[in-house]
Amino acid sequence: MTKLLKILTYLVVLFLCTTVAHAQGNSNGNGNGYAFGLGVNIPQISIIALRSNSSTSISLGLDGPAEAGLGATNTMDSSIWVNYTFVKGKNTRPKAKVYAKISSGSVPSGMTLNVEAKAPTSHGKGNKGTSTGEITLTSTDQAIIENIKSANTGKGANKGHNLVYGLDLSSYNLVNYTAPVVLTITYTIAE
Amino acid sequence: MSKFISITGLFFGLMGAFSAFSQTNPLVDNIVTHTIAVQIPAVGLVNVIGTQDVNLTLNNPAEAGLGLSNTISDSSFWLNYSFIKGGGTRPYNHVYAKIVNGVIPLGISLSVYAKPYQGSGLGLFGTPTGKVLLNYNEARVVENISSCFTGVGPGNGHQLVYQLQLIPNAYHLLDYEQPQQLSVMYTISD
Repeated sequence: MTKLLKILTYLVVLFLCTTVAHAQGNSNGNGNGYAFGLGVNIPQISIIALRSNSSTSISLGLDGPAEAGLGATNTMDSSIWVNYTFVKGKNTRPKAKVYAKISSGSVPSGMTLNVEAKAPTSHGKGNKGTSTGEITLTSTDQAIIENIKSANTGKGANKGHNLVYGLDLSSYNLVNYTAPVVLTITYTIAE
Repeated sequence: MSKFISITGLFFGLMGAFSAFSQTNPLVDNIVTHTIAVQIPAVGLVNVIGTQDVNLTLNNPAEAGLGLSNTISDSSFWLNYSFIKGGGTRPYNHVYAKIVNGVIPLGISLSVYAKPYQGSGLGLFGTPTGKVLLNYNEARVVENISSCFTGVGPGNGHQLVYQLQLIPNAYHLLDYEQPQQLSVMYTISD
C-alpha cells in the first residue's frame, strides 16, 4: 500500500509539472529535452482589428450647404487604426500582409476611394509591416501592409497603422447627387 | 492492485485529455470590416462677388455740341457657383439674372455678359450666353452647367461685364434727376 501511495504521488507530481510547463507556454524551443515530454506550443495567430476613438463607421463626401464656388469639403478621414497580431511559421507562412477591398456597395460615379496605411507606431513588439502606399479600393483584395512577421501592434486607436482615406473627386463633372451610398470595407490579414 | 490499475487508468485518461488541450488550435480572426457612407447632396449655389458696388455713369461730353458717351462698362464682379447634377433628374443648370429692385433710367439700357470661366475650380463649367439686356424677367447669363465648383472670390468663375448704353433715338428721354439704385438677382436653376 505504501508503495502504491509512492507511485501515485509520483504520478500526480509528474502531471502537475506537465501542466505548469504547458501553462507557461513560452517559446524556449521545441520542448523535446525533458524526460517526461514537455510540449511547448506556440499557437498560429492571425488577428486583425480596426479601432477608433469614436466609431469605425465614417462618412465622406460633401458637407452641404457649402459656400457658392466651393467643392467637396469632407474628403479625408484618418480616424481609424489597424491593430494586428501575427505569428509566423518559418516554412509555411513566413510573412503576412493586410489586404483591403470593398466587399459591398459601389463607389458613386466620378470618384475613387483611396486608402493608405501609414507606418506603424512604436507600440507593440516584433517585426511589424510596412505600408505599400496609397491604393485605390476595388472589390478585389489589394495589399496595403506587407512584410509582417511575428508581431503585435498594441491595442487601440493611435496604435498600429493609421488608415488615411481619401475620396478623390477628380472627375467632378461626373458626380451626381445621390442618397448616401454605404460601402463595406473588408481588411484581411493573411499570407 | 486493481485500485492501482484504475488510478493509473485515470491518470492516462487525464494525460490524454491534457494532451488534446495542448494541441493549440490556430487563433484566427483575420477578417474585419467597417463601413463608409459616401454622401453627395444636391447642391446649387450661386454668388456674385465684387469689391464694391458698381457705379455706372455716362461720361460727360468734352465740349458743347457732343453727346454723352454711348457705352460705359464695369467688370468688377465675378460669378461663383457650385452645382451637383442629378443623373436623370437635372443634368444641367443655368444662371439667370434679373432686376429685382429699381428702375433703369429712361433713354438707356443696362446689359450684362459673362466671360468664359477661369479660376481654381473643378468640373464642367457653364457657357456664357453673351450679352443680355437686364429687365424684370430672368435672362440666362450662363448655361449648361454640370457638376462643378468655380472656386471662391474674384478671379474665380465668370467675370461679369455690365454695360450702360444709350438707346438709339431716345436721347430726348435722358433726365439727370433720375439716378437709380438697382438690385440685380442671380439664380442658378434648371
